Amino acid sequence: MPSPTEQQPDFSMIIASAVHDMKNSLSMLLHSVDQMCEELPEELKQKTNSTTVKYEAERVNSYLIQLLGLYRLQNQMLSLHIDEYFLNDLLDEQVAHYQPMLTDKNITLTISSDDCLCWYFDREIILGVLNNALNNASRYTKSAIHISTNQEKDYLKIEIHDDGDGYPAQLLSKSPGEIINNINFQTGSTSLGIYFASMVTKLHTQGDRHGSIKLSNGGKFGGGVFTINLP
Amino acid sequence: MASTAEDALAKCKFDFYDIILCDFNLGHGKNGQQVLEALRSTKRIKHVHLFIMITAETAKDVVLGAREYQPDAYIAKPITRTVLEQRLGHLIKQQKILKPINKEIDLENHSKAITLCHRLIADKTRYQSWCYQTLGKLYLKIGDSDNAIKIYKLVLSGREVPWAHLGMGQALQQSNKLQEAIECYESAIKQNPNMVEAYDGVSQCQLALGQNKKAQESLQKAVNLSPRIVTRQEKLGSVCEQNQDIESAANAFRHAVKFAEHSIHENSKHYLNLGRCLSEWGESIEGNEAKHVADEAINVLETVSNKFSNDEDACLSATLIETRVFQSQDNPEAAQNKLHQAECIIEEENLSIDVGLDFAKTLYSMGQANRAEDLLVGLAKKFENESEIIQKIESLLDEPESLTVRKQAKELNKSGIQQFEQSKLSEAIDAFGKALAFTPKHAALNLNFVQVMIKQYKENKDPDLLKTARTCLDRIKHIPEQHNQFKRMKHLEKKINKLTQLKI
Repeated sequence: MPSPTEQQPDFSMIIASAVHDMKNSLSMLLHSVDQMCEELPEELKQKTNSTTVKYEAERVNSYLIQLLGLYRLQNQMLSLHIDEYFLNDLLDEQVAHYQPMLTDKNITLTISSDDCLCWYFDREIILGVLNNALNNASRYTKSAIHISTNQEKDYLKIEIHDDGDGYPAQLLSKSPGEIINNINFQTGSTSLGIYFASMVTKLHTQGDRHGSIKLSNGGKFGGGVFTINLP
Repeated sequence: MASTAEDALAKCKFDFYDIILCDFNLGHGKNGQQVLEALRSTKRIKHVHLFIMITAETAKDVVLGAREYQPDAYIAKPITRTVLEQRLGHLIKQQKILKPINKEIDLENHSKAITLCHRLIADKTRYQSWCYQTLGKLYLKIGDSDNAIKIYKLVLSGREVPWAHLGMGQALQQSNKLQEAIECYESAIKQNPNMVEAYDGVSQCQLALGQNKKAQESLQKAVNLSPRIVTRQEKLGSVCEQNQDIESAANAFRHAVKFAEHSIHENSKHYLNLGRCLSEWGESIEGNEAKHVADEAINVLETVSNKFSNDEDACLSATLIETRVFQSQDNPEAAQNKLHQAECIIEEENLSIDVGLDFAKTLYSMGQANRAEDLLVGLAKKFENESEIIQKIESLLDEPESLTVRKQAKELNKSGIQQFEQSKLSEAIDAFGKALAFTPKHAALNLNFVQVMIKQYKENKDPDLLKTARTCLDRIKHIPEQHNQFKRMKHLEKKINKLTQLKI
C-alpha cells in the first residue's frame, strides 16, 4: 500500500473535512449569538441586528450542510433515514424559527396544511430543502410567503409561494444540472440550493416513482412558486 | 442536569424523568447510545417517558446504532431554542394522547393496550400510523401472529411501508413460515436498505433453515451497516465459528470487545471468545502471520487477567487458552508453565462448563488425549440435559484436531457420503479412510466408514472388512451415551457382531 504522502490528495475530501470543521464552529457561533441575545436588555434586543447575524450564519450553515450532502451523495455515502412525519408539526417549527426575521422584514408567512397529513421522508434532508426555499423566498418576496401542503394522487406536494418578481426565465428553462454548471458569479447566485434540492428529492422513491422539485411563476400571489413532490 | 453518563445513570436510578435530553457525544466513557441502552435494559426508562438524542454526528454507523434503541426523537445539531421548544411541544402533545396506551404497555397489560389502540384508531386521530405500528408489535409480543399479519396487510394495502414489511416478516417467522418471512424482510430491505432489523430477521430464518453460510452473510451485512451493536457482533462471531470461518469470527469478536467497552455488555466472555478464535486461527496458519495472531491472542488474554481479576473462571480460561497459544508457537516451556498455573487452581469436580471445555481442549493440545476424554465424558454426564453443551462436547470429542485438519476431513467426509449415495462403494471407502487419517476419533465419520464396509462385505464377503470395521468401533467406544451417535454406534456394533457370528 502506498504511504499517504505518495497518494494524490483527494481535494473533495479535503473540502469535505474542512466543511465539517466549519460546521462545528458555526454551530458554536450560533449558540453563542443565541446566548448573547438572551442576555441583552429588552430595549437593545429590538435595536440590534442580531436577527441578521443569526440568519446569515444559518444560511452559511445550510450551505455547508448542502455541500457536505452533495459530497456524500457523490461518494455514495449519503443514506436516507425515511420515517413518517406530520407536515403540520414540521412547518410549525419552521414558522417559529423564521418568524422573528420575517417580522423584521415585514413579511407575513401563512400556512395551509391538514393537521392529520403525514408523509414518509428523511426529515433532516427535506428540512434542508425547505429551509433553503424559505430563505430564498424571504429574499425575493415583497410582503408575503405562503406554504401549502397537499396529497395529490400518490404524491405529497409542498408549495412555497411568494409575491416577488418570480424566477428569471433562464432558471425556469434549464434543468438543475445545467443550472449548476452555469454559476453566475455576478449576481452571486450559485443555485447550489436548487441543485441540492433536485438531487435529494430524487433519492426519495416509492416503487418506480421518485421525488422532484419544480420552479414556476404565478401561484397564489403571482410571484415565484417552489414545489416539492415526494412519492 | 447531568454532565457525564455516569452522573445521568445515577440520577435515573432514583428518579424517573418525563423527558431526557441526551447528547450522543459525552466525552470519555459511555456515549448517548450506551446510556439509552443501559436505561432500557435496567427498565429505568419507560414507554411513558421521552428520550431525545441530540447529536452533531451524521456518520452512518452512529446514526443507525443510536436508532436501534429507538429514542423518541433524534435531533441534529445545530439546534436553536425556538426549534427545540417546538419539537418538545409536539412530542409532549403526542405523548399526552398516547399516554394511556403507553401506560398499559409499561404495566404489560398487552390486551388492554390493544383495545385502547383499536379505540384510538376508531377516533380517527392523527396518530393512526403510530397505533397500527404499536398494534402490530403488541400482537407479535403476545404471539398472536394471525392478527399481526392482518394489521400489516391492512397497512401495506395503503402504502409500501418498510416497517410493515418488517413486521410482516416477523409475524410470518413467528408462525414458522420462514421462506415467506425472508421474502418480506427482503421487501423491507429493498424499501429501506438501512433497516438493520430486517437483516437480523433474514439471518434467523436462514439459521432455522440450516443455511448457515447465508445467515453469516446476512449478519455481516447488518454489522457493516450498524457495527456498534454488541449482541449482533457476538451472534455473527458464533455463526462464523460454526461455519469454520475463523478469521471472520475473530473479526466479529474483536468488534464485540471494542464496542462493549463502557457499555452494559462489557464482559470477559468477549475477550475469551476472541482469545479462543485467535488461538485457533494461529494454529491454522504459519510463519510471521501466525506469530502476529498469537501475540494478539496473548495480549487479549492478559487483558482478561488484568481487567477481570475477580472473575476466577475467566482468568482460569484465559490461562488455559494461553497454554494452547504457547504450545502452538513451539514454546512448550511456557505452555507447561501456564498449564501448571491453571492446574493449581482447578478443582475438577466443580468445573464450570466453559472452563471444562477449555481445559479439555488444552489437554488435547498438550498430548493428554486420554485425560481430556475422561474429562469430557464426565462433563457430558453432568450436563446431559443441555443440548447445546452436549453438542460442544461431542464436537470436541470427535475432532480435537486443529481447524485446518478439520476442514480437510469435512470435505473428504462429504465426498465419501456422495460416493456412497451413488453406490460407488470402494471410492467411498477410500474417501472415509482418508478423512479418518485426519480426524480418527470422529464418531459419525467412523460409523459412516463402518456402514460402507458392511454393505461392501455383503457383496464380496471379504473378512478383512469386518476386522477394519471392528477397529473403527473400538476407536470411538469412549463416547458417552449422551453423544448423538451413541445409538447408531450400538446398532452398527450389533450388526457387526451378527455378521461375525454368521461367518463362524
